[in-house]
Amino acid sequence: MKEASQRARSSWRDWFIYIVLASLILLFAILKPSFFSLSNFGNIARQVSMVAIMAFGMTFVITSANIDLSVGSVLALVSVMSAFSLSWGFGLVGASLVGIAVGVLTHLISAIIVTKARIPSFLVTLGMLGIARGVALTITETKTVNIYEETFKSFWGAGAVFFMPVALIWVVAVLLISILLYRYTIFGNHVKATGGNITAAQFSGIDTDSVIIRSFVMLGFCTAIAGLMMTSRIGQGRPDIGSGMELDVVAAVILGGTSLYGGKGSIVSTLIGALIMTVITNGLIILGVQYSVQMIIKGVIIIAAVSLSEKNK
Amino acid sequence: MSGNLLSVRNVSKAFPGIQALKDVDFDLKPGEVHALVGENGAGKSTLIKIICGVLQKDTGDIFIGENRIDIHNPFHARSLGMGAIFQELSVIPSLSVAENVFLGSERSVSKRLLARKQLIAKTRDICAKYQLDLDPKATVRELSTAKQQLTEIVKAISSQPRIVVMDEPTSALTEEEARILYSIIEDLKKQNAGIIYVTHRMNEVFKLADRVAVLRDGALVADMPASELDLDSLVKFMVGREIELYRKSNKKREELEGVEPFLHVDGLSRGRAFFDVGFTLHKGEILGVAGMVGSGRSEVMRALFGIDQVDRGEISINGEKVHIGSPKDAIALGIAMLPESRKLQGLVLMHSVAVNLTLVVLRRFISGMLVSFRKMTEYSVGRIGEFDIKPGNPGMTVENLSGGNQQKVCISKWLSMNPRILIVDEPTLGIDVRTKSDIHHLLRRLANQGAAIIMVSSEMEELLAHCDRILVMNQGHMLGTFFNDELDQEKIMSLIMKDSMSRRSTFVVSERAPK
Repeated sequence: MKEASQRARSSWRDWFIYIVLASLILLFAILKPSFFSLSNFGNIARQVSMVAIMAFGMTFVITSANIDLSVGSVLALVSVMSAFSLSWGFGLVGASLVGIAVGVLTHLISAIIVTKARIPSFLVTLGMLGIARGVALTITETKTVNIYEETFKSFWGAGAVFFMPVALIWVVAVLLISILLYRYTIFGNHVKATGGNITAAQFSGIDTDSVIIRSFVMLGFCTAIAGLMMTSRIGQGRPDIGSGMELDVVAAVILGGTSLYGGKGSIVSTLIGALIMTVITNGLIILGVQYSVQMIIKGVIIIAAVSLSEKNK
Repeated sequence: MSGNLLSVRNVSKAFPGIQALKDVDFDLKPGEVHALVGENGAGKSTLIKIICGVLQKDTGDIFIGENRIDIHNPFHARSLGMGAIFQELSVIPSLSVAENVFLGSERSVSKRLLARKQLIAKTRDICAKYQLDLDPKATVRELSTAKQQLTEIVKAISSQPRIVVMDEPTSALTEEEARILYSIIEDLKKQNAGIIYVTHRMNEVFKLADRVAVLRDGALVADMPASELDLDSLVKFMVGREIELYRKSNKKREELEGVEPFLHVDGLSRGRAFFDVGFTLHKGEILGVAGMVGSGRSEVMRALFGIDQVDRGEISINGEKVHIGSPKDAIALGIAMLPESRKLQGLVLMHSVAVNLTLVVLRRFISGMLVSFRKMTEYSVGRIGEFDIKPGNPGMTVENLSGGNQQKVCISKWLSMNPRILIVDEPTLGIDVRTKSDIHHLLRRLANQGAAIIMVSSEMEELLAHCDRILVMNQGHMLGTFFNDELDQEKIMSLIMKDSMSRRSTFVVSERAPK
């Protein structure tokens, strides 16, 4: 009986974020009917794509009871390095590989320090946040790097296949890969075990260091994809993009119900969390709210939503 | 080594400041249960952790069969045919039962993708084989502690181990579930597996063990067939002196009859946790509360201490009706509670002994606006002496104390407020015999000094030996309060069984309309 009522409550909790999302859409649609238009939904789809992709990777890292604060900075480093590669004539494939290598390597370094030196990921990635941004600013001398390769731009997001924006295709692809890894592989279960009870996981013969490292690498890959998409959309490699983005990404994951203490989560709910974050930003912009006020309202909504959902746990 | 599954020879292990094991020998033969007993800190955990690969030995040899082997880690141990059930729950709350059972060995079923259906089917087979009431699909978080422990047991036996290590496996189980474990052990014996069984429960030693090894201060002091031992001689080996653990200390019925009760509880109900609970408690009395884990016994205690609110019911102390809305109210009324989980609810583990001891009465040590550290330490040294807390250093972090000594800190913390009513929930769970006996004596002494005590325990021998009256609960209902001389272990069990049977059929009705 106790179990049944707990289950009822947890299913209510699963629905909670959908209710939040629906009410936000309803609210903005009433306040500004142009919010509820096909063209704006296209905007939202494009805007959500990068936060969502990084949030999918972040779901693995947070489920393993770690966190990564460096994603915004690494995104910028991916952006300038891929732009440089294009200017050196590496072409679409070469530049994309360089971008992915930057994302994966920075996260690999963080993860190795976290697991081998036993330093909390919060601190390591806080350091990496500074390092990645610093390197990006140094090598570009704080200037932007223009991109003239049209194939790169259209491949990573500016283009469209039939009527589907390419960005949407990338989101769906990473979403499906993430769901597969998170729910249907042994690796996914080992991530949950590592975050749920690391001693028990080790006693069961799981190499928890390797699990944590692979989670970070997954996030590095996602960050690289998001960085390439961002770069192609603005048509420049810029060292100043993505700052503060780690907060949107972490907020999306936590709104999606992934426990900050590790052990459990859901990729689909993370997508809803990312949509909530994007709808808030988009809606406030459409209403013409000043950026400074936007930040305040966003902060309040996040705290309210998370505390409401915690209460109903 | 001939014929042994496992032979440990001259194994020693030292930690900073302690020689945990000194030249220990230990054997395990096929088809036997070899019990490992000793007080807390005697070295049992260290020995089994070495055997399971969690710790590495300093010197000595370990043989699996005829081969000398260094066991590097738990996974290595598992590949050598070992299965372990650890004292601390080592299940993952967010995963299902089946996922937990095969955690770390999923690859025996499928390579990369998780074959949930097969895991569930295999788990269901094991559960069916041992008639376990466990749903392989259930998420472990939503299960009771006992079912979580069962999950761990299934996990240990799923790999069909030859050597099974069980560290206090029944500490979280109800009597009925413990019986299931005993039948699993019988089955493992028939399959010629050997079982190393660590326990504090003396009755289990005699029920299960073929041989008994006793550790004291890191050294093996006895290793003999269980049939050559009795309780007194075993305890003597463990402690080095004689202790009578279950000598009756209860008061006679005449001493209580006719005395005006101090605490009156009437018609207490809370949601689906408990219904219509009522009892009285006298000064100088120890009232026992018997019932299975989940019978509502701990929930009633939580409500009495103001942690949970009741829906209905009255409480009066000394004839005066009182309202207990929070633990603060309860403390103001002179009620103290030793909670079920000393680690989670009783102590601030990372703080020192002195800080924990003075937590309830910190006000007393204020001089001016600041807390006087000197006064706190002086007070703590006094308490440490009085309760024989070891090691006797008030600055020591509580985390580093043994379970028994942690419990002593917990009790003396509450005694600092001179409670009129003391509630103790599982006061001796997982505690060695010497400290256990100390705690029993302490409770009786407090009662003799006029305190009214309620003792909740899963161990019926303990209740029957030390309680003056016993309240029996089942599924949230009170089955009655009995004088000690009206009850014995069989009587309590049969009361609970009969009640469970009758309730199963009337469950729906009683749920809609609780009295």
